[in-house]
Amino acid sequence: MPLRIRRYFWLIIKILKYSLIGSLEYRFQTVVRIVRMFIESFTVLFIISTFFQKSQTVAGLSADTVILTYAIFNLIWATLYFFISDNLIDLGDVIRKGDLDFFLIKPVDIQFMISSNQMHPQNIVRMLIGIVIALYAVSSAQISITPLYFIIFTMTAFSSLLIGYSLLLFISIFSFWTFSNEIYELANTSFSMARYPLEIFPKNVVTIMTIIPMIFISTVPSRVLLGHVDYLTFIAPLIAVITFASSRYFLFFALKRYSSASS
Amino acid sequence: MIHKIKLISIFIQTSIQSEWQYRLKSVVWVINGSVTPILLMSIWLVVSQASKLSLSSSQIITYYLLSIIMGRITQVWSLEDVGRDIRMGEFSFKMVKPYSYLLEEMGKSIGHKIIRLATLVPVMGFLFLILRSHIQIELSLSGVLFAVFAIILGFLLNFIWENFLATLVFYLHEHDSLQYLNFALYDFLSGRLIPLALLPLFVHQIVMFTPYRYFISFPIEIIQGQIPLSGILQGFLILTTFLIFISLFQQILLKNGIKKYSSFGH
Repeated sequence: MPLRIRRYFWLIIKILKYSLIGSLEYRFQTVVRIVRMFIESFTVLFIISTFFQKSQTVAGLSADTVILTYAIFNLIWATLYFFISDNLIDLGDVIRKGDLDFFLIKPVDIQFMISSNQMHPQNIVRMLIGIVIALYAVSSAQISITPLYFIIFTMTAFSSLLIGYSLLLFISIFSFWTFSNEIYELANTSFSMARYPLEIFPKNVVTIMTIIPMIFISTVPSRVLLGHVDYLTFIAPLIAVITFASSRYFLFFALKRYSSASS
Repeated sequence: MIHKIKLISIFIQTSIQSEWQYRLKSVVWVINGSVTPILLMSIWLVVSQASKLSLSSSQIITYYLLSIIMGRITQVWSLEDVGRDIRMGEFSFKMVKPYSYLLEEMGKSIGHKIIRLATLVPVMGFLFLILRSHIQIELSLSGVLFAVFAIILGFLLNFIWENFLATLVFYLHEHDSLQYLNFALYDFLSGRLIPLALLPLFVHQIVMFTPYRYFISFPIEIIQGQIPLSGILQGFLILTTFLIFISLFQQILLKNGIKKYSSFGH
């Protein structure tokens, strides 16, 4: 097992290296993607500031809480896309063109190949943006984070990563039947709800977002940083394991029904 | 001119037949385009309960429902399609045809739109039905005419704007980056994410002089009676100016871009 982990670790390093070389080859595209990250962050922060231009709180939430939730979402999503790039959104094309066959014959776990055959190192900028915004929100709200809460936050953040990845993988697996990425794009758009604390939405929406475990993506980790720990904090790792196992099971279910595009 | 119209109608028909094969795509496209506006609408309604805004709840609901429709009517795919063709060397096929590629793009855009908007009707019908008591529209006959005119010109402006951006691919050899940037600016400046009336005044005034406002916000402002006649006429003047100058720039860039263009294997 440690040998396998080491093997995949070096594989990740290699893929990262070649992805970085690819990014540097298309410098203009890389620069524009980074500029776009700043524009997106600016746009969302601007929207949040307009929510609070005439009131200190909205739905009982302060501006700092909303900004912190957005920063955590940014950090989680950037980390996710650092490792999975657009691989899941392109899965429909990979299947349609028959390239999945080349993944299947490689001596590497198929889930790993589908998810991480390319990486997006530019997302490190987005991670940094998330960290800076989070630090600003924490200092603005004058919150002091104890080591214990930081450990709990790290646990929920890792759980968020796993849940986010599992949900995206689950949606992308429908490409085996649809051969396109529209459903993935729809799901990705829906996940943008997690940018905002889910308390801002009506109660029935919050219930739905707890069942589809989107509440764990950014709301639960940001609550921990704000010093609110509840049962959701402690079931987050369990939910992460369940969603990961379910998505992996669904992947192999789809693969059993996959027929190669070539002879 | 009649020949061009005939050509466009043929492209519209082929585009409809092609788009009909991917009906699910149209449904998902409609729902995808509705998620963000509905999400933001619900947040703004919560905000309006906490503070007095320059728009009432009814105006906010009406605005976001209309923004879904406007966004879909004025949307084009030229930057993605033409930009990709230029980068992949397939623009050569367009160059050898005995008509301008813009006619084909126009036909494709309209054809795609007919099928996709047909899918939009039941979804919007459902939303308007459940929210009918909150919808606020103040429209006179002249307002209807102005709104229709604004929508048509908004579509034309977006079409020529995206084709203008596509010609930049001749020089930059990138189209993904341009798409990303365009989409990021479109989201913010068109009023898709936030009604321009809720922006600080100085930002609103800057946005007035970008082409993005005319894709979504301008027709809605007319429909909701948010701007006086002088504002409507000023808007049309700016819109027409953009149309003329962007078309001119597009033609100049296209002419010079073709001189530089080289395609491997085609």
